[in-house]
Amino acid sequence: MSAAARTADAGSPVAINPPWLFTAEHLEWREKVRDFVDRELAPTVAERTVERHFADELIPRIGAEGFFGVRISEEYGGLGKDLTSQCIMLEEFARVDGSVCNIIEAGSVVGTLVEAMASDEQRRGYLPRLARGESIAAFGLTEPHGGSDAGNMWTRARRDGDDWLIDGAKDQISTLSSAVSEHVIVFAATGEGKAPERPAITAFMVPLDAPGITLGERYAKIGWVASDVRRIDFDGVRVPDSAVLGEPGRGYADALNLVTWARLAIASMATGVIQGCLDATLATVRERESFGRPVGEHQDAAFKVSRIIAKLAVARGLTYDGCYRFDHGHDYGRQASVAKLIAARLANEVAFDAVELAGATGLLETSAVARLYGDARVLTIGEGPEAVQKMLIARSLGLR
Amino acid sequence: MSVASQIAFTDMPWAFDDVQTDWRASVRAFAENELRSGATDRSLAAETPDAIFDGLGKLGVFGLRVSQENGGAGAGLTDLCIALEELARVDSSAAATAHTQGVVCALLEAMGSDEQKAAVLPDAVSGKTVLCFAITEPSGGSDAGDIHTRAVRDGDDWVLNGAKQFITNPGTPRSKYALLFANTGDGSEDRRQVSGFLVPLDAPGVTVAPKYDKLGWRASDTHPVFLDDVRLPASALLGTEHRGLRDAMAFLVWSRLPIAAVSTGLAQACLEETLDFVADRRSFGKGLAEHQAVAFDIAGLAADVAAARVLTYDGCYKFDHGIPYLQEAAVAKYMASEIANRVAYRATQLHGGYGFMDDSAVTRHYRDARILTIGEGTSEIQQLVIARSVGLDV
Repeated sequence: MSAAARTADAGSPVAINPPWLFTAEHLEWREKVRDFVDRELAPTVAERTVERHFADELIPRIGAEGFFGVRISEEYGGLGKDLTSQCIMLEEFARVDGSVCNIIEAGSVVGTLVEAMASDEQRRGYLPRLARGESIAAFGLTEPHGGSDAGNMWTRARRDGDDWLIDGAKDQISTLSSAVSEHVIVFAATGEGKAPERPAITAFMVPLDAPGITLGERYAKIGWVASDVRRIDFDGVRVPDSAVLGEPGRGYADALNLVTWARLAIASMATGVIQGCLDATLATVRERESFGRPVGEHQDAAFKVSRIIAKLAVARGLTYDGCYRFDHGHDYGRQASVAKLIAARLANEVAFDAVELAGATGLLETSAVARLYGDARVLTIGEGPEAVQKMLIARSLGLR
Repeated sequence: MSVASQIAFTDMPWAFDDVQTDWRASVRAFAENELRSGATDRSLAAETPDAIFDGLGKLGVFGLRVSQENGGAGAGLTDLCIALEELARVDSSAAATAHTQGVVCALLEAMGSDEQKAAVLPDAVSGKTVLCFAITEPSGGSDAGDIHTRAVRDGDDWVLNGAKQFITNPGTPRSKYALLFANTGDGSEDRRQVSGFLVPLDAPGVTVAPKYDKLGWRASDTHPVFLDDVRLPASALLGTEHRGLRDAMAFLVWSRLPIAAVSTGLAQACLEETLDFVADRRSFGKGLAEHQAVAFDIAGLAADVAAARVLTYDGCYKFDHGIPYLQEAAVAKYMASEIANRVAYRATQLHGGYGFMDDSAVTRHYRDARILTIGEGTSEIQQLVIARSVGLDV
C-alpha cells in the first residue's frame, strides 16, 4: 500500500507555497522577503503602532532590497519580477506590518503604473529612483466626493500656454509626506463630458513642492495606523507638458487596467493578514491554559483554528490562481475580483476570531492580532469595495 | 444554448492539461446526453437505472483510479474529480453511484489479493458488477473504528454477525460484493482490531434490507445490510488481519477530494441554473438580474464556486504530485461542501416559487447538497482533522 505513505503528514505546518505556481525562484524570494520582514519590521512594529510612528527610517532599507521596484524592469533599475512575486512580497509584509505594507503596496503599484504609462524619457528619469525607494510617488485617484466611481473626476486640468493648470482635490492618498515623497500622480479631467459619458482623463506626474499644493493633516485611522494617508488640494497648480504621463486623455483607461491586477495585491495582503492571525493564534492556544489544559485542546477553540486554516487556504488559493492567470497571459479579471472579494472578507472574519481566541490580550494595541484586526478592515474597501467587486463579477457573467 | 453554458467557468489553467480538458468535455457530453433529461424524474422516483452502470463503465469512470494492469485507466485523482464534478453538475445521484464504485475499485486494488482482484476488478471496472463499501453501523459513523460487527474464526472459516447502515450500491441487480469491515479483536487490545472482508452479497445470512427513502441522492441505491452467521472462507479476508480498517482509512484520505469535486459541480449547476432562470424573468418592469441585489447575489455565488474549485484541484494537484495533502483534502471537503449548501440555498431563493417545486433542477440540487457536509466525514470531523494536522490535541 505505497499510496498510504502519501497521507503521513500529520503535524505538518500550513502550506504557504502553491506547488502548481511557485518556482524555486519564488520560494527563494519568499524566504528573502520573510527574513527581511522578520528582522527589520517585526521587532519594532508594536512600538510603531502604539506611537503611530511613520517608518521613514525604514524606507532606505526597504528600497535597498529593491522591494519598491519588484516589477519595474531591470532596464530601469527594478527587479523585473512577476505579479506572483509582488503578491508574495505583499503577503509577507501584511503578515507583520500593514502600515509599512501600505507604503510598499502603493509604492510598488505606482512603479508598475509609471513604467506602463510613461514615455521612455520619463521612465529613465523617474524609475531608477522609484525602484530603489529614493523617491516615492503617491497615487492620486480617489477624490473627496467618492472613490468607487473613479471615472467621475472633478479635479480638472486645463491648458495654459504650453503648461497645464490643475484645480481640485484628492483624498485618502497614501504616502504624500514621507521623507522621500517627491511626486503625486494626479488623475484629472482634461475634456468635456459627465457621467455616464466619461470625460477624457489625463495622468500627471506632479512635484509635491509645486506652488498651489496644500497637504491635509495625516488621518488617524482604524487600521494601518502608522501609515501616512491624507488629503491633497490643488489650487491652480502649474505643471509643464512634460508632466503628462502617457497619452493625454488616456489616463483613466490605463489606470483601470492597473487597478484590475492591483486587486490581487489586496487579496495577497488579506492572505498575509490571515497568515499572521493564524501564526499568532497557534502560539496563543498552545501556550495559554483554561480549565486545566491548553486552550487549543478545547474543541471549540481547536475548530476555530481549523476554520482559520480553511479560510487561509481559500484566500491563498484564489490569490495565486489569479496571479497564475495574470503571469501566464490568461484572462484573469473575474478571478481578481473574486479573490479580492473573498480574501478580504475572510481576513476580517479570521481577525475577529483571532482576537476572540486571544482573549483580553488581543485587545492590546501591542498585540499582533489587535493590529491585524485593524489592518484587515480596509481590505474590503481599498481597490474597490465589495459592491464594486460584485458589480464586476456580475458583469463578467453577462448581468448588467 | 443556455446563457450559462456560453460562459467558461471551469477552466483552471494550472490544474488541467489538454487531455484533462478533453476528458471534461467527454464527461460533460455524457452527462448532458445521457443523464440530464431524466435526472429529476429518477430522483423523484428514487430509481437507479441499470443502464447507468453500463454508461459510466463505458465512459471509464469506475476504473480511473485502478491501474492499467487491472483494467483501469491509471489516471490521476484530478481526472476522477473532473469526472465527478461534471456528473454532479447534472445528476448528483449518478455522481454518488460513480464515486462509490470508483473509490471501492481503487480500494480493492490497494488491499485485495491477486485472486480477489482477478475475480472482481475487471467486471467492476466495466460496470458489469457493482460493489459497495460497508463500514458505517447503526451505532454511528464518524467514529469509524468503533465497529460492533464481529468476525470470528471457526476452523478455517470466518463467521460474521452484525449490521451495516447507509451503504451505497448493495441493492442493484448487479450488486455482488461488499468490502465490509468487522471487528476481529477480542477487546483486550490497546488498538482496535478491525479487518476487511470481501463479502458476496448472495452469501447465506446476508440480508440487504429495503432501501432508504432519502432527502437527496435519491436515485442512488442506499440500504442497510445485515449479517446473520455469514460464513466466509479464509480467502475472503481483505488485506492484513486486524489492520484492514486502518489501512483502508489511510488509503482513502484522498476520497474526501471527490466529495469536494461533487460539491463544486453541484454549486456550479446552481449558478448556471440561476443564470438561466434570471435571463428570462422580469419583475417591476425590468429583468430580474437588473435588480442589483439579485445580480450581486449571483456574483457571490460565482465567487463561492471559484473558491470550492480552487481548493478541490489544489488538493488533487498535491496528491497527484506526491505532495502532502491531508490538511488540504480536509479543508477542501469541508469548505466546498459548506459552500455547496450555501449556494444551493441562495439559488433556490433566487428561483422564487420554482425553487420549492420538485420538478426544478435547482430543488433537486438543494436536496442533493445536504449530504455533502455529512458523507465521507462530517464537517466536524474535517475540522478535527485540520486541528490535529497542526498538532492540536483534540
